[in-house]
Amino acid sequence: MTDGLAIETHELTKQYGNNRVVNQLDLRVPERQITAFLGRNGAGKSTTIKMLLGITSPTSGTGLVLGKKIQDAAQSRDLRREVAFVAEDKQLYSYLTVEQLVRFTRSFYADWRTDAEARLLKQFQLPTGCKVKALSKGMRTKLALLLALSRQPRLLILDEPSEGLDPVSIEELLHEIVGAVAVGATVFFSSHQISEVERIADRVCIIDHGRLLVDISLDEMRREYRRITLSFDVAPPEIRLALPGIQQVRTSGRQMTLLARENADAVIELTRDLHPVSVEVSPVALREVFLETVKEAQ
Amino acid sequence: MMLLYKAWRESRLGFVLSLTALAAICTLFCLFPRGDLQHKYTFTQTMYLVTYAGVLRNIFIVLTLLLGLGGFLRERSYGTLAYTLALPVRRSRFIAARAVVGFAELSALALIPAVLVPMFSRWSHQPYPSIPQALHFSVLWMVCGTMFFAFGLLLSTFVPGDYPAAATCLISLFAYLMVLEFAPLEKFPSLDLFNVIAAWHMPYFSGRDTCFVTYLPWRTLSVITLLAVITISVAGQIVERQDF
Repeated sequence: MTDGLAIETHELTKQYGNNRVVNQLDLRVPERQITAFLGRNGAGKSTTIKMLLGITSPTSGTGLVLGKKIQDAAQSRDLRREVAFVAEDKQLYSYLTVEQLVRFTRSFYADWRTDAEARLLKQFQLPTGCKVKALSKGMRTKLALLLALSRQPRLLILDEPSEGLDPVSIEELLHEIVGAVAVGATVFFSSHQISEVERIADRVCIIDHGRLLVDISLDEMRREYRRITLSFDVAPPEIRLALPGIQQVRTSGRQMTLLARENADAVIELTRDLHPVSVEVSPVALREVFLETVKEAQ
Repeated sequence: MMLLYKAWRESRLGFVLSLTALAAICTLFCLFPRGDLQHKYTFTQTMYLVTYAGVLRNIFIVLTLLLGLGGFLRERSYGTLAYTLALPVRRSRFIAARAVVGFAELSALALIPAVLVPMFSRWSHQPYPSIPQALHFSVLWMVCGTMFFAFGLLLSTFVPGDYPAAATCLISLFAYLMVLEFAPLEKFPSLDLFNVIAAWHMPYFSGRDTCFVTYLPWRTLSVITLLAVITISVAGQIVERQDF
């Protein structure tokens, strides 16, 4: 494993027929951090996760999870001992009761913590005698989370973990995720809830059409990304701003808006040549970065 | 151990229904033997023709085939596959667990006529050969049933969906019966598992007395068992390489 990386892929590709779902993905997830994996529906997030866990095999490319090759069946099995996973659809064996499913799952892992199990059962208010098929979607999600969080894994892979949860449970989940990292785990999670990502993630990877478009720490993003709004007293000049660091340019009425990925000060300096009436610089939220990134990719 | 538990819980309903159906039909045959057969044959022969060499045998074969269905493709349609495959277990071990549980279940099914036919014969004051004779048939049913079960298990690794898999099983069964109709194959009676399971026209069985006259064909049964094990191993190898 490359020093300090829990997940590392090199040109990881998955193709179904002519459809390339994951396209030469170079993913790097640092250890002991929370990395969010963002993308629209069908962007390739779940397929990437399935490849990381050996559920599906890559068409080409390589990958290491906790230093183990994902293409090697024996190594993949070893890595799954150290990885806790919550799948996207959170479907569990409907014919078992909550208690039976917990007992079943516990039997496969040496790092199971009965104290955490008891705490989460109480916290999530899961009815132990109830069959899984009788649980609501939210309760099933809680059960899936309990099965992952009752262990002390080195890596937690969560595919849209907060989907279907009520606000209180989401708070509890975020707390658990942060707590897991505090005791040395790495968290890699996909989500469509950008506000949650902004609250807990250290790093963000944005994927679209199977390609990695952004891989940045949230601190870096907050520091570097800027929205620069130029106001003119006439229509903005129709020029092509091929400046380094500008991700996107949009004009509307007498305003020109630039999204600067880096070197915002240099970009501002260069735009002075356009003689704007005013220049406003504002920080950019993750939501905006995400939306602009995927729009640009389209 | 937990994999066996999983396999049992997943097949339990199908097994209980099969057991109930087989027991009910067997009971009906014993209590209300077919009149047309009874005119021509003794009670023992009638029982043999409707159970070990008749409808009950055919139902048993279909049920063992269906018991083999399930597994990862079914789990994928239920959405539980990601959870299962994320467990730190070799995929072929899931197949092995299903095979062990399946064998136990089909063995229980194979014992039904051996238990019920002598019991109801005694109850209705009809003569019937001893229980050990009936148990000979159970051994044949277990071994041949294992082959059909193994085939169902193999089919379940590449035919998705419960109904298409069941339909494929039945079509395969008919195809097998049609292949057996080819004259050159008649030289190899052991290829016809329908006859092996019923001991029909076999040198170790007297049709007139409907009893086994010598040892069971252990060599044939060993070959069938070996083929079943190979089929299950192939299913295991397929799922190890399968892309979900």
